[in-house]
Amino acid sequence: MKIKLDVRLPLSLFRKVPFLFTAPNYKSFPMGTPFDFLTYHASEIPALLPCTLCIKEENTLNDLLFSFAFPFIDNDERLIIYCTHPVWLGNNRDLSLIHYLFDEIITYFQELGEIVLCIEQLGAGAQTAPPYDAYPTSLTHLSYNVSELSNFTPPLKESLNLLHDAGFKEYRKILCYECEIETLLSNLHISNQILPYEILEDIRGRNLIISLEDVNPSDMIAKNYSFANQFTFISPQYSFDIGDYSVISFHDEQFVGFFQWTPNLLELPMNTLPIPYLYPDLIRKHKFTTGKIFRFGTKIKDSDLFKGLLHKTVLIMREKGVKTCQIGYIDEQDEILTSILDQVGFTVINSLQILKKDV
Amino acid sequence: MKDLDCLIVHPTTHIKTRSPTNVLTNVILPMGSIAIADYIDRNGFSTEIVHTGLEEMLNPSFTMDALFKEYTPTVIGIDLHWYPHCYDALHIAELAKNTYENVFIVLGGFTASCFAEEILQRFDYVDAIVKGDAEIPMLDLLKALPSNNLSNVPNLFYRENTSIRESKKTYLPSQDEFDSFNFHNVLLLRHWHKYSQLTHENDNLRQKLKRQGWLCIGRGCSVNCSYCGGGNNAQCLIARRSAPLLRSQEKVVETLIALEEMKISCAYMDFDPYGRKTREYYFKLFDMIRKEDIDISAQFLVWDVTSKKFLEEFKRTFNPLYTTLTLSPESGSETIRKLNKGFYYSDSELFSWLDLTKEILIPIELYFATGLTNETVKHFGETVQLGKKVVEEYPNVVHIACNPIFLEPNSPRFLDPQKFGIVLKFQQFTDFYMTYKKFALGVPVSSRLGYETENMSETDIIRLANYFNNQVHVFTH
Repeated sequence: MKIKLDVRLPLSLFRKVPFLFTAPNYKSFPMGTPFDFLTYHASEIPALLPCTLCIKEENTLNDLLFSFAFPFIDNDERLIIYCTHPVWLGNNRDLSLIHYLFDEIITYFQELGEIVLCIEQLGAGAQTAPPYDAYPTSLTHLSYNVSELSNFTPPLKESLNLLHDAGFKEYRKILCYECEIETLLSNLHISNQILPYEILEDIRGRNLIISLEDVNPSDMIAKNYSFANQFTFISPQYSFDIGDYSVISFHDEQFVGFFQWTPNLLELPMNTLPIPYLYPDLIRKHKFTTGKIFRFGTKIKDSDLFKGLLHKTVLIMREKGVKTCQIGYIDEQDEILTSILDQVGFTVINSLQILKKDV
Repeated sequence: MKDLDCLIVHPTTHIKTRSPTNVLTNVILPMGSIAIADYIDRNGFSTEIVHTGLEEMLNPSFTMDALFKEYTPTVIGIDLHWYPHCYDALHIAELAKNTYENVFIVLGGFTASCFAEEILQRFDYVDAIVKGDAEIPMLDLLKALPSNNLSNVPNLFYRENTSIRESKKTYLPSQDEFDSFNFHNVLLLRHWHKYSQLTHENDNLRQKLKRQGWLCIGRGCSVNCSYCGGGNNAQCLIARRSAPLLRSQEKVVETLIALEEMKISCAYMDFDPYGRKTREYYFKLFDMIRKEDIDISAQFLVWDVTSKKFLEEFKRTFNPLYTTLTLSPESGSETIRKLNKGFYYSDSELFSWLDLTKEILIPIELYFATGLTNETVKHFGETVQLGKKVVEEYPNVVHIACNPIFLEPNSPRFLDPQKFGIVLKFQQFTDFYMTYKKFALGVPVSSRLGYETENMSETDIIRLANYFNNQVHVFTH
């Protein structure tokens, strides 16, 4: 009997914990080849690695534990291996298997020299019942149904203890906030005033390329882990108009900020998964109850600009029938932002902890 | 050295390029090789399958000489099913004959069957060729070899002194015999787990999310596409098979269960021999798969458009993770499609079918071709238009591509080029052999496709396919 790493995404993962895959190359997922490749130290590395820990008994393989690994190169030219929550695939839920999994991942990359291993852990609040599973739920292009995931992922406390023992340290805590639309509109209305900004919800015809370098540092998390340094609101890769889910702001005809949100795609029927973008008609027709602001940025540090963008976004959400608004990827240490969110009525409903280890 | 009664060797096409590493292509093992190996092994003759391309992928310094030092086989069987293997298969045969003093070399598969006499005449290191189905003939060959009397081995072309003889006995498996074959005993293949990990139909040897398994559903076809070497007439010529032979659903389910146990996540299914005329077979199969609770995805290549019922049953049978349907309209011109395809469907039927796949939420792959009989640049323009419309209106189409048609031995156009409006550049086995030898050696070839049409040169045919792929594609990156 030998425990080993098998680079493979098992079907059982999808059956146990449904997930969404929404990377720009989503169309190659059904063919099993959604790989871009990174070049690092003259080696070619797939930008998505499905890591299945399994045990070989005679001629059969039994799957034990799974994690998606997203390798990327950071600004300091270091190879970061970003791993999503480990998911139990078998009945053996021995916590030491997590050690095995990460040791195997480290071994897989060891020929490339030093790496930084980052691990995503669902934080407090994640064990609570739905509807706290609004898409997206991860910093990667992969989003699990969180309420299902909590049945198949090691308990947070034990998991953190084990990772600390293995030398991992807390790197960041990313928060997700939530508020009812009506509450938000009521609170934002009070503080709403005449703004010097033009805020547009119809951005068609504006092929604006946003570089994440240009926006507020509060978007640093997205910059570090969204695996893209720039994006556009009009993308031929997406078969529905992502501009319908964006607002942008101008001041003296200069771009100053944007909000992007998405309906909670995890509300779609199971048979649209894991690639909902293949079925834009369904996304357009479905009545979503939750919307999530997943990316935003402002060039100017102005709480009124932030609130103005938020107000417009929430109005659009309401027009589309959404009842609850979430805003994700908030760095716990960003006190200015967290205080604005508290002030307008948001409360923290979920957190994502990122742990890091230099290897 | 391991003594073996039979070593089955799968060749892989080598293309020499300017880069330091050569390209390995056509890496798929014919499914029949597993069934043959299992059948003779089960009947007491020790057997192993070695996939030379896989060996090379796993160990770049792999050589046939090194392989032959590991085994002492009585018989070496080499599959020459697909014509791109013609040079590599014969090259392996020659090396084997030079290595082992008394080894018996036998070839089989579509291409070997088509050119059996010519191969035996020109390549004296080949001792015999099984023409047509080979499971029972291979067993009979192993039994007959000690007596040196091969006249009763069915479907066999063989050498006797300086003559080439054809066995008087013929063989075509009955339903029961066909159902007795095991197409999933992959343990007989060296590094089988790497085979499913590294190979898939597009020859991309990089790792994938999915593990592909090749599902044998049957043999034969009811129609003749102008370019296909596996159509009804070709099957009659090669194997005397006049109608498709399907494995019983119970046996197919047995194989699927075995694939699931091997952690194969996607079953590749390329068998639809009656098109929409009847797909009752599949309704029963899908029902049984669901009842057995088999969790697997499917890449199903339908040869004709399907009913809504088929799509719904298909959708609810397979795990959606890697499940796709593939259809090959080949041309955007209805006239050209009608002239070339055994299963014809109009544009309107095609779009109605695509509408259904969008409604039922099934990802689709579509393939087109250039070099079709009577096709002109104008017809090709219709193909581009149709491709663009599909990409624009059907976001569930995850892949679309156009490939130039290569000449296939025993295809209707190969057998009657005048009728199909083409001029052959490959007329005999040696023409295929020399072309692939030149590919392997990195020497320029005079023809890649083996023909040109009345309306298009070979260069045009290749150029137009490239044009389509540049103009029409889904965004995957």
